[in-house]
Amino acid sequence: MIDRAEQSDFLAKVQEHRNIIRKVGWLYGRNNADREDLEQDILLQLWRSRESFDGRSAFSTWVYRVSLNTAITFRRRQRPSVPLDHEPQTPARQAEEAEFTDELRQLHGAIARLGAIEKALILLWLDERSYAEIADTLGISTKNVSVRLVRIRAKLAHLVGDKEDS
Amino acid sequence: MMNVSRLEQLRAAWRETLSFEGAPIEEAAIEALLKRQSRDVIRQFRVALLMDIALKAVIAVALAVMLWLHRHQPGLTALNTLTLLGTALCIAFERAALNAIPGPELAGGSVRAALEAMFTYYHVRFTRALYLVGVSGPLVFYTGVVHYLWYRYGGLRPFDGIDLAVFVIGLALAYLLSAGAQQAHFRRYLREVEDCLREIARDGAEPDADPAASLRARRLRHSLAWSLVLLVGILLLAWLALR
Repeated sequence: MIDRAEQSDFLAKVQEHRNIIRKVGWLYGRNNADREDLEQDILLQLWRSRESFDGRSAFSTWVYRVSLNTAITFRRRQRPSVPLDHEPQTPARQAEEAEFTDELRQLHGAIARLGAIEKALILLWLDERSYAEIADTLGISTKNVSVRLVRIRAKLAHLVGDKEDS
Repeated sequence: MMNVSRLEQLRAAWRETLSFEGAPIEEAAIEALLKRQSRDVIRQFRVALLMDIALKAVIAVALAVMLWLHRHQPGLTALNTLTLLGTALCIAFERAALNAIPGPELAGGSVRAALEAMFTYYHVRFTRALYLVGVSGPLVFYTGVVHYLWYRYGGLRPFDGIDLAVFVIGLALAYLLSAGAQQAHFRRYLREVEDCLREIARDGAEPDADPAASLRARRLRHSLAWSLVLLVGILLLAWLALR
């Protein structure tokens, strides 16, 4: 039996951070159907593991952890069955994706070539999380975060044709 | 004019994208969602074990019936008693593996901790449990054949060499198909976890650059040990049936 008050409270908190869920879905989903599945799985996982949030870190950090763990650790990755450019989209998705600029699409194309952990690092960097928070979310040292980000940014810069950084 | 790199421009575009906010999540939608079954691998582990425990429970009933039907044949009584005990032990072990599946709280920890926990669970508990899940194949074959012979011919005549060879090959094939299918089903997921663990350990100061290596060696030892147990089991079965 779902406790209504607890559910409403949980929803209100998650609403504030739903952009994290969308971003993880956007970066790790192979196509639109997979993205929607992943976002729903993340939401479900957030609900199920709500008791693991102990308040020692920010709620947003916890949402990142659960979202990334759902995408990286608990999911068997599917091979895309429909090519990305030819898949059917719901009207709501079409409206949302119409707002994505060419720049964002270029960024997505470059990030898609990174490994699962590299994607997580770059997502947290794009969202301007601190090195300490990135380290805490991924379970590596802050020094390691710094070294890796230099390399991944150089790789990404090369992929987006940024001559200066590459 | 400020020199802004392309990557920084893209990062700014990322920050300004409002689409990531999306539409608010509706209460009715989330209620339906929370009742939905997740498709994550933890649930797949659970379903695989639960289905097999249910199958083995049915096999145990069939074995108990066989025990009663062949109660006047000491050789078969001993064999059926052993098989029934073995089935009960398999169920107990699989139940323990089911209870040891990492809980949802794992998702709230770091990505590295979650990957390591899943990898360790897979190697230490789940792989062993899958060997036992594979035993269901020969158990179904054995109970099926003995029941069929009982209802068709009213009992079992002593096995000759060819009978025994066919029977043992049937058991071995049933095991290989059953265990092989289960192992193959989860092997790709394991490779993905291994890749992520390697990726997370790369470039780091951590001394163990490949945390999966020691567990892979352990998996090989387990495979050899279980193969030996299976061989001894088949030989024992053959000896009991030949008597």
